[in-house]
Amino acid sequence: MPSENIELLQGTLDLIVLRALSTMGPLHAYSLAERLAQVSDHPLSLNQGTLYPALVRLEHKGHIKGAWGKTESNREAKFYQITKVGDAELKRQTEKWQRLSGLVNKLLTKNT
Amino acid sequence: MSRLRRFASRIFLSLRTSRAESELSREISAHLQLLEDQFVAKGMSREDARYAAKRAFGGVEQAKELQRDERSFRWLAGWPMDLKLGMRMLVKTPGLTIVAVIALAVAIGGGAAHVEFVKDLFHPDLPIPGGDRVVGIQIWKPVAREAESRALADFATWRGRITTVEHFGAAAWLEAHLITGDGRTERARGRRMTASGFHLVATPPLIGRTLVEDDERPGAAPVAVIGQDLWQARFQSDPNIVGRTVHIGSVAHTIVGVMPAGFAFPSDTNLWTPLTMPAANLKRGEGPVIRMFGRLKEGTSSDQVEAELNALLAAADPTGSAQASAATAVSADIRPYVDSLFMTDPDNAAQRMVLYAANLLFLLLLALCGANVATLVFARTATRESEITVRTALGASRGRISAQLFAEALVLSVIAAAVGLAIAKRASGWVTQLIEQAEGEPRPFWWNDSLSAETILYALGLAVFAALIVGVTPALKATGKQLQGRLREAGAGGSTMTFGRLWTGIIIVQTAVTVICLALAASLGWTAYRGLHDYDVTFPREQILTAGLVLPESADKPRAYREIARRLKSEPGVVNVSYASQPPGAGFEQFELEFAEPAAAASAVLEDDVLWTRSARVGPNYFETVGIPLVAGRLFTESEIQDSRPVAVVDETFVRLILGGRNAVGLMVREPSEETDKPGPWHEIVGVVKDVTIMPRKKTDDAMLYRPGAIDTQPSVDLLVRTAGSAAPMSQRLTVAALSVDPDMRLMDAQSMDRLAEQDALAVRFFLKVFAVVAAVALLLSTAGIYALISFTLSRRTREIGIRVALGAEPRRIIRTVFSRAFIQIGIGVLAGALPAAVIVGRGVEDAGGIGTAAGAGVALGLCAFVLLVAMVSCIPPVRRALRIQPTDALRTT
Repeated sequence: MPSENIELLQGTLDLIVLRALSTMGPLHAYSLAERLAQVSDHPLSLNQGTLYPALVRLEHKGHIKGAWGKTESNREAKFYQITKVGDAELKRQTEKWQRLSGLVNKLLTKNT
Repeated sequence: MSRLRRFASRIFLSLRTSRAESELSREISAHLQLLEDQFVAKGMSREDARYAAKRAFGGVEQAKELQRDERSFRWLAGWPMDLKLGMRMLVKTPGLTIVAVIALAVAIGGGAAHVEFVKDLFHPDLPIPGGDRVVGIQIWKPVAREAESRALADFATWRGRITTVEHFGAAAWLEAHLITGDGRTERARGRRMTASGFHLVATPPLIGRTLVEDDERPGAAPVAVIGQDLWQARFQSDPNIVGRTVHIGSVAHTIVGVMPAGFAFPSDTNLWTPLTMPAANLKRGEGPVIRMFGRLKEGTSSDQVEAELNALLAAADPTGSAQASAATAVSADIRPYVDSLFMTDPDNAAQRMVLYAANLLFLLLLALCGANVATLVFARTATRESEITVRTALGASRGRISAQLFAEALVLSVIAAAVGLAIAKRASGWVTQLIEQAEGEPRPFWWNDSLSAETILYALGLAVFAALIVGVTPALKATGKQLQGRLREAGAGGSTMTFGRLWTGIIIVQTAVTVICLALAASLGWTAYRGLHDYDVTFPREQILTAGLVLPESADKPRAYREIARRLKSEPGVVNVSYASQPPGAGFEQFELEFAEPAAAASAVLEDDVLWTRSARVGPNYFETVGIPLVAGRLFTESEIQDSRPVAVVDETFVRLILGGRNAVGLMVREPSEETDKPGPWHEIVGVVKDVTIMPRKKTDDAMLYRPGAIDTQPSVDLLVRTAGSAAPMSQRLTVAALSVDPDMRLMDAQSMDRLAEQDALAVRFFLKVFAVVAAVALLLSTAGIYALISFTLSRRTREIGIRVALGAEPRRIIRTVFSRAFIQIGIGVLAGALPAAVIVGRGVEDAGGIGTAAGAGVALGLCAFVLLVAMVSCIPPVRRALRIQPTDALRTT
């Protein structure tokens, strides 16, 4: 079944979440999902609920930490913030990703 | 680092789920609330916004499931529930539980008991401080492949110099009777031991003192230490025991201390005297047989000790003359203490491997029992098919369901392991007791009835192995490819799972194995039972006292014996006295026969092409003492015995089976000794006596040939005393009377012959019990398997039976058509087992002088009929259930 949605590569969601938290500062899951939808031209094949496994994974690794707070509309929500470890990891993963994607790009353009 | 952290968090959260769960719910509902607010802001009604929020979020339960998978180890989190379910299943199907637990418990218990036995045998935990460093030391002769145990000279040299071993000591047998002031006598389990043995074990004495180094000085006053059992039994726990004088052999010793129960170093000792050091000119190979022991100093390896002792050996032989010749070369050999007691050969790894490998038998038995129980579990799983199908539809993975079935099986097998361990503990207790009773000696001090940690771990390992067989195989089968199809058919009523080829095969094999098992048990059991009756004898066993008699080499043996016989005969109640190379009716030497007249034995049926008979060498008055009447010819004369003349007396079996009933008197026989090519002397048969043993179907090798045996030609004999009444109460008095001739002689295990027969029967009875248990388990499993097969067939065809009944089918016809397949499988199994069973029973029992091939086949047929009958009986409940099926009920399940 052909789809307009982009399937996320395994592991890339963690990187995207870290990037978003690094640029935007503390976010709760809802605004994180909104942010991801906003920056991507194509809608990601991402139900908002699928963020939760990534969040708990990152939290366990110590890359982000969560704390309960109030939103602007005075609703309660759990805000996630990137940690120092997370920052370092983001830097490493970004470099790795760029190297990999550059290589794949090069290969694909040469072959076409 | 982060990985480790994540792993730890997952483990933690697998076990503490409630907080994480409430946090997750709170977070998701906050998320949904925000989404809902956004949709309301866009102008939706609250109601519509709520639905829109849920759509945008995706499945709430699915998201939770995914988060749980990331958050924790689900299989770990699910375990408490799985185990609880497993417990519930046990209660729900008690029949299966009982059968499975018994079957697995016997296999696991057997394996555990074996491991415990081998551990106690080879590397027990010695109840000695630093017990793992206690070693046995011996001098090894590599060429002769034997230990030089007469090593007191080397010990004396080493003990002052050795630096790598502490409490270095030695012990030798104390081969003499303990004779107390009141004239009572007993063969104590005595050792001559260096004081270091007491220092090594470090057990304080109960009363008085232990032996000390001073006692070992040549010329020191002879002293002795006794064990608590001896103190209680022989000295009525006399508190003033210290200072009392006893005789050990002919030497008076002063008792200086009592050791508490549990101290029996070096093995099962209860009487200790000092091991005095030898004169300076003693050489290796001279002096008493000793065992050396000691404890490796902290941080020292046995290799270092070996190196040190080998250096001492070289130093004692400065010219190297002994080491130069391969035949006399020696080296020190250091091994763990118990190991050194049992096996003297340093290269015994292979023997050990064989003993350990015997455990494979129990693994095989467990696999067999496990496969059987798996059949039962699979049949039960089939009845839970709808549960499994629904759970799969709700998203449970194959692994998840297998894990649950595994957990259920594990509960079963762990309970079986617990029961098995209890059995193993009892069994090892029984075996130890049995050995103690049969040997008439207590267990060595390190042997205990408690199970070691290794054994318990091993049993748990076996439990997991059993659970894998019992749980996982049916689980994989139940959650296999056909599951999707079953999902569609789940509503159709009745079970759709099939008893595949594997299970059909198991049922057939199992039925066959049961028939074979029963045949084996019948054959071995019959042989053992016949063994019991080997001891049926024609003479009054209870009126004969036997005791092993060893006269000191220095004594004038014929004179000493004549004096013993005279004193015993003067005791009231004694009728006659004699001796023989072994007690009548028990044990024998073999005598290969060659006749001077070739035609003499023409009619004899030969065993293995060789003509053997049993033989004994007997003393004066033997036949009168035992009570064996003369049938023809004459008995031995006094002078024939004194000179061990080549004459013989045979029994009636000899005449009947070997000579075909012809006259034996005057025939000449001899042993055609093959090894030396020098045949024995011709013996003239001078008489024929009655048989002493009663056995049905005697063979030629049950025949008996008596020869005269002078007392001084035999290192030890069995003294036989015939009494007027029961012999047992007189054993103590007669021992004292005999010992009064020469306190240095040894009189061993004095008891009446009926006691002796009882001891021999103990082991046979034990094995009969074991056979009975094995046969019962095989039968139980087989019955349960057949029951499971029939029940399973029934559950699959409930609907069909209902329709048939509705259509007016006759009950008999239903039974025939529905169960014919099951009966065919059982029939094939029984037939497959029948032939091996017939061979086993025919051959096995025949070997024991038994019933022959035709009768064997008869017994096998009987066994087959029995198994079929049991199968029929186990079919009754399912068949009754089948006949009670109401068409309306059967069809309503749709």
